[in-house]
Amino acid sequence: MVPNYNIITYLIYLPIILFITIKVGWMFYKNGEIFLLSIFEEQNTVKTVNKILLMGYYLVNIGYSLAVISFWTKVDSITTMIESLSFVIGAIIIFLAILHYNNIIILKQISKRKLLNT
Amino acid sequence: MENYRIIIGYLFYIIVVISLTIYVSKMLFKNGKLFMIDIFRGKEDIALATNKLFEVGFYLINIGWALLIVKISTYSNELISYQSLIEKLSMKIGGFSIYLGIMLMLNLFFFLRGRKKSRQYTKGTTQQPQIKTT
Repeated sequence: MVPNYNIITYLIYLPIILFITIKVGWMFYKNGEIFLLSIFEEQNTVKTVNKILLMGYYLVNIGYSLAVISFWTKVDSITTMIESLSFVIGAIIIFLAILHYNNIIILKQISKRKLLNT
Repeated sequence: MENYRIIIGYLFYIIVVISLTIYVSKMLFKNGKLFMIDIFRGKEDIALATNKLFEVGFYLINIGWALLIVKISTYSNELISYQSLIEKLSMKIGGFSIYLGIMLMLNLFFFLRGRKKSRQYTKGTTQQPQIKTT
């Protein structure tokens, strides 16, 4: 019996992408607190906002990486498995990077505006 | 024998989606209590009641929507393969999760906006210092 390569690919794909998403989110959560503190200036608010943001990040990203599975090409050998895995994971990582830089720019602008107002 | 794999898929989907919704809204409204107390300027009973009502509304909207999109459509009566079952389920659960994330952000936005409005109002009418809840 020929194994179903697609299902094997999904089983390899899910742990990798979950690990990357959770690790990156946790890093943003830890290091983003100080930026939020400069915007809100209250410890309690910052904690709750940060938690809710982390949650939203997880939901959207894990949801997206799950939804990508349904557009997977047909995998019939080890070669195509490696190609498709690296393509999809790379696309998601680049997407994460774009989101990340976007966030940095937004934070920068907000803190600048705040500085000008006070 | 009917298409038993689809039934497995439905059970899996419903369990995952409902537990996800309950977890997210518990988390959101546990944190939202602080905002509500701030919005209602320290009147704790009305703040908690409003929080509870919002939580119930969140449940109703999201579980309702999750149940609406439950159907997995197939084009033939043959047994669906596990591969396409996984693909369809991942699309459904992933899409629902993205939707839930957007709802979460929307709620956070409402909290922040409500608090801002409430503070502006307090500043504008009475000259009392802001109530800080810790």
